[in-house]
Amino acid sequence: MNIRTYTPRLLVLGSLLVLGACASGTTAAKRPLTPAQMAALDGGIPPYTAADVSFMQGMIGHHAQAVTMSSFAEANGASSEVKVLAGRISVAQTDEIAFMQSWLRTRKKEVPSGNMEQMAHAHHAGMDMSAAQTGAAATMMPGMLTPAQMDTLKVAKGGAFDWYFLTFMIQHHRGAISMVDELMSAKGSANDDDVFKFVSDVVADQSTEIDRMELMLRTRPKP
Amino acid sequence: MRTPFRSLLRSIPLLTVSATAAQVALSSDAHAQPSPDPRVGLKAGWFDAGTAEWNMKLVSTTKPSESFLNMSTPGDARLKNSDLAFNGNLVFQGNYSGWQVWDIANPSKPKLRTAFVCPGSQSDVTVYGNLLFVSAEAVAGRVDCGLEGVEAEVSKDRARGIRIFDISNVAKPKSVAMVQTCRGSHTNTLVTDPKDSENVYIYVSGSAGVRSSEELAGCSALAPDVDPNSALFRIEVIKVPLKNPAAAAIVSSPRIFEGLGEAVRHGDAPGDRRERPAGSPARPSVAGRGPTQCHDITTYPAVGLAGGACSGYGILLDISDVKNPKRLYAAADTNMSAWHSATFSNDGSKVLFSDEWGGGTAPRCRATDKKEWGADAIFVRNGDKLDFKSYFKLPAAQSSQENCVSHNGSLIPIPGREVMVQSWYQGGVNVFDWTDPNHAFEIAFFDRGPMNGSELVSAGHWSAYWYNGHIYGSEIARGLDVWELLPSEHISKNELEAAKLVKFGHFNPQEQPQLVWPAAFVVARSYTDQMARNTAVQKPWLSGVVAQLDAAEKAKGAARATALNKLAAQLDQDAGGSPESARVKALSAVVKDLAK
Repeated sequence: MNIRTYTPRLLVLGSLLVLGACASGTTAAKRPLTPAQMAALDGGIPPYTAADVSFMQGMIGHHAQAVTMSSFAEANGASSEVKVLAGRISVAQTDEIAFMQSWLRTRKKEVPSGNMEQMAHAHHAGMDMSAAQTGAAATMMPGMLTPAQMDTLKVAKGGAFDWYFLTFMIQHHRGAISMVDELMSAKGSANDDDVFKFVSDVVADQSTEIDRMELMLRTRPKP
Repeated sequence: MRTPFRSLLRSIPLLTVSATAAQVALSSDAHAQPSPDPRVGLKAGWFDAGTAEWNMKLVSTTKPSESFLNMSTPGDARLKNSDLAFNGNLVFQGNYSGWQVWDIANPSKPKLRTAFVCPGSQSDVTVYGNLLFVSAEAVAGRVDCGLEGVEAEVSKDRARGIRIFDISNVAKPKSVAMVQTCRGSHTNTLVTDPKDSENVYIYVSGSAGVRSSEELAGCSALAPDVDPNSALFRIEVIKVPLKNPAAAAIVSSPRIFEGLGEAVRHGDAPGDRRERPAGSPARPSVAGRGPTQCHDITTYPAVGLAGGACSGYGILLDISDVKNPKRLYAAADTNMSAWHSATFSNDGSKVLFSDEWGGGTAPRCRATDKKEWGADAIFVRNGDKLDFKSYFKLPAAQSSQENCVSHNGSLIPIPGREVMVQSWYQGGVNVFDWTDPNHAFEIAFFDRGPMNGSELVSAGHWSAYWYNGHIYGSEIARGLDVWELLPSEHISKNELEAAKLVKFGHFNPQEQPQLVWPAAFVVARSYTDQMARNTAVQKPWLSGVVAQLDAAEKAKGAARATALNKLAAQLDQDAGGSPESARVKALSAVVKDLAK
């Protein structure tokens, strides 16, 4: 497997770095390797794990579904409040998909397209992709809507759309947060600052939105 | 304080001000800005990007020091510069891999004093006397400041919380304590207690996940109704004994979110509005993780308040009992995503909250992004409540290759106005006026082109603050920028000189200092310049006041005092009937001080 893991890296670094030398807070004499030198050695790509990679690949499909869900709001007559929310989710998660793709591309990993239909098509066409990379497999990720739920949302109108959108998006967001929880409990994961910052933002944004959606849901009757 | 700035702006006088005379010329356009906006279409590059500036001038830009600069990877995520703190002639600049200290005795040539290696994002810094406090949040941060990260799920080597350094010898900082917290520290706020000179306090805001109780005893991510010791829905307060900072420890974990259910939301439609005063019953708990943490807490000790930017809420806190801050009010807003930081007006009557929608790494200033999203929201205090007034966002559209959203800034000490400088990541920095909470407008800006013209490489200004006469900006990838603010139709020379009279001994972004101006003629003339710009008062009256000020300044000793007291008496008499009553009273106060 092509994933760089900690062990070999640490062996290399161990010979260059006096581990833990700066605990006393004194100067460079004790620290032969600066962060800049270390970054230059690994080409600006800090250590990451297989779990980091499959999280990014999976989360692209997860986000793609949220973008598709949000795209129905306008045509299905969502209330202004839900339209604002859906608009923001769509912008946010589209940008995050681009970030995850760029992160994977830099590390020369498979980059899922981030488009629900293309991903599903790739799967049906029997392309050789790992399970986590396909849209269809993505439906098995936590919080993903089932095809039946997606069909319900697609045809719901007005107040009913609001209710289904909020209910399903809460489920979807909770799933994303549990994916982060799972990643964070894996050995060595999210030591890369980009990954750590990204998952922290996902949790902060989506938990704020869950709270907001629950408030919105309280004033809307079940269809 | 409400000021009639709308009428002021309808016809703006151009002031040509000398020490002895103020000549007024009228200009027709109130918010004249360069057109087309030079910020659009700037050349991409790392240290050679195109720049645009208006009403402010870059006086120096200093690359990160050798330890923190990897020339082979533009925008290396491990080497991001973060926030700034100031002490005397030193500026402390956080970095994801440690922190640097610059001597700014000569702002046009900052000199490196120390580059301290100690990874653990985001290294937000706060300084007090000989102590430096640094936030550590990432799972890769080590107690021993090593570079190798922490692989194990549970490890005693992991550092998440507040690192405390003794910087009495800034060339040789000493680590004195590492206060571990359950969620780590994203940012931190230094709080002093007027009743307690032995200790200072640190409010810890942590926005990342709660760690396992195996790693730090007592940490729990369960809902508070399941586990009363939950690390959620609270902030941590660390007490730091000044005589023995090594004994710093958590003294309280106030649950400032308790009972926080619905709050005031400003929605697109009146039907979206809801209100719920603090203290009334709320739902038992918030599913998901809800409003469980703050991002920044800005204290304003002068009025005994703090503004907490906490998940989906802007929170007003009473900090008169420093260890036990109490929530007075929580505002929520449909257009606000991630409440980020707070700035009070100098009189405490207004609060500006920023919204770091997307966490600062996304391009949210594109022409297609709504002006209300990722913007500032300006509120007026109404007793213990906050009334929403307006949004303000960087007016120049940025490209898809530039991460951009509202971020850190501070007030510029111009008497009688709320003028502040703010950073917008790769949107650059700008200076704007929010004296009229309904109509903020831009006064000056500086911007660079994107790091990379074809893909987004995260960079830009993390923060920009006014400190003793200059504006300092921490650029994530490019280093430390220093600017001079220039006089313009929106800021007179007198106002700028008055701003430079305010000297801070130290400045921490989340510890807002009260601005107090010494008695000076430029302070008095700041008010007359503002009245001239405003045009609400009658011109002959204002010319008379300005002439009396000029004559008084020329006079010496007792004659000057007599002239000033006479002017003050007239101002006190006229203040009541003036359309600029508050400003006339403020002018009178300065004139009286000058007479002493």
